[in-house]
Amino acid sequence: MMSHSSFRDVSVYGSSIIPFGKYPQLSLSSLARPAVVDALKDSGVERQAIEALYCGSAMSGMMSGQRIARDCGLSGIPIVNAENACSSSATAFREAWIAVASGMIDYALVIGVEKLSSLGGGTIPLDKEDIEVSNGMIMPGLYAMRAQRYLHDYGHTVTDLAKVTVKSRNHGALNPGAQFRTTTTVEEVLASRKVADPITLLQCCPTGDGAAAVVIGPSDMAKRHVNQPVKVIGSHLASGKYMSGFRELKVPEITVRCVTELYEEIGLGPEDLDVLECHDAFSIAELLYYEALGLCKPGEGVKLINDGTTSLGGKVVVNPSGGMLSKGHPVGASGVAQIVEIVQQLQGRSGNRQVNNAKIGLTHVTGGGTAGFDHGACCIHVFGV
Amino acid sequence: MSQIEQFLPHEGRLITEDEVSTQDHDYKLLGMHCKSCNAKFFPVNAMCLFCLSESVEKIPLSSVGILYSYSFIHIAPKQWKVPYGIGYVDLPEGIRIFGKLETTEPTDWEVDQKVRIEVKASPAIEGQPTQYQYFFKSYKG
Repeated sequence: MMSHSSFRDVSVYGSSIIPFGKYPQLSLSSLARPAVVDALKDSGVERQAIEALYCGSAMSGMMSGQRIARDCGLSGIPIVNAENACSSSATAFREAWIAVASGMIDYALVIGVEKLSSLGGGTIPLDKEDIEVSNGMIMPGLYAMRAQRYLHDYGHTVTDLAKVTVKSRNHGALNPGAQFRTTTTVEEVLASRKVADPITLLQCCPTGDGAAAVVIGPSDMAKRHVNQPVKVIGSHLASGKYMSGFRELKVPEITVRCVTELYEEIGLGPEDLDVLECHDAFSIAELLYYEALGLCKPGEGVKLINDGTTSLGGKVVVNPSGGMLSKGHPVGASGVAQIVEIVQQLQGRSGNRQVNNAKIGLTHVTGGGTAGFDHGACCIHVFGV
Repeated sequence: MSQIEQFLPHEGRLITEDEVSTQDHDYKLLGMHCKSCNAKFFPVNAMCLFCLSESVEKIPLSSVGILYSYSFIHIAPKQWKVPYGIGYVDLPEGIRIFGKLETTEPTDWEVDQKVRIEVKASPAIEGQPTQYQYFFKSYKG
């Protein structure tokens, strides 16, 4: 286990996100710039004081951070571009956290950005050399097989899956930055176009473009800049563990491993969380991750949807932003997007979708469809005020 | 449909004769067994993916397994003809294999049912090595 004893505390000073959607007319840096400028302003840190930039993006090609820095008056400082599939910008955030926590630098800017509209829509392109991808595997197919097994083993139904989307859209309807801002019904979800049985279109996150940014710095200097810094309580990154045998598809091993190690490091558990954003790329994903993150026992995820535990007003609110299902999932941008949501929830700045008295929040992002792994990467952060 | 057409990329990954056992014209997929750590895995590889030993041997894999899970895909990248079925099959060797299902309609498939792995050879083309593909066939007998 990694020792953090020599690390200093780090806080998020400022945060910003653009409304997710389709912006084919904008360049990558034009997409990111409003979030960068706004996050800097929100942080109270001068642009010239930023010592390093960390940019997470999965499919933007080379030098996405430099392209954005050029157009934001930030060129010349060290820039790290992070690619870790869906966990790209969460990984970028973690690297920035390590740099500030270690005392190497004081102020860092972290960006998550993705322009999926330039890929022409449809499912996310995966590695064609992969033995499963070259036989027809797609991400919705992987989650569909998880769903098939989940429904079979626990006796749940497609209606239970559809309720996840309904709950997500209830939250998304309150988020002006979500791609879907209307509510829906179980009937509508189940009647939507088939994607990968039993997953229908409204059980899949929409493709789109997005950008989010945060400024971080040492906690002991935060009050010089902002009134409401949000502390980074913990950060953990896991990579997929290869296996050739009978993987239990209902238990996302990489998430369980990542969150178990993180809870142990920070001395907190699922019972301490008030709010979280988890990787709900598909309806089934949210249920699996409730269980993997320890919010309930295996097979009981459906219960949390049915009794309102994870809806606004419930005991532990999951995806108040509408999550990936409503807000959208511009792959590499999602990690920082989740962090922005949790930070602003903990600051009490989330308007109609504010979780009452939220003190501790978690972000969870995982992904990367690769044969032999549950997923390629998983990155989890815990924040507190 | 000519035999050549049967091997269009929309059907799946082409595998080489190094990855197929053709003994007695009973085509079987080959997996690996590590003599050092006893791991078994798929597909063929020159060293053990678990302990890096080069003391590995090819083993013909069982033709019959259990369908762990499956799905029928209706939206996919352009190279694929939809709908098509995919599934994970668990073999007695302790290896799970991903592949396409034989049918394009989701009729009559069940979780935990028996399936047979069918390996088919491409038509012989002079000067080119034979290539193979595999898919899963329902085997409820």
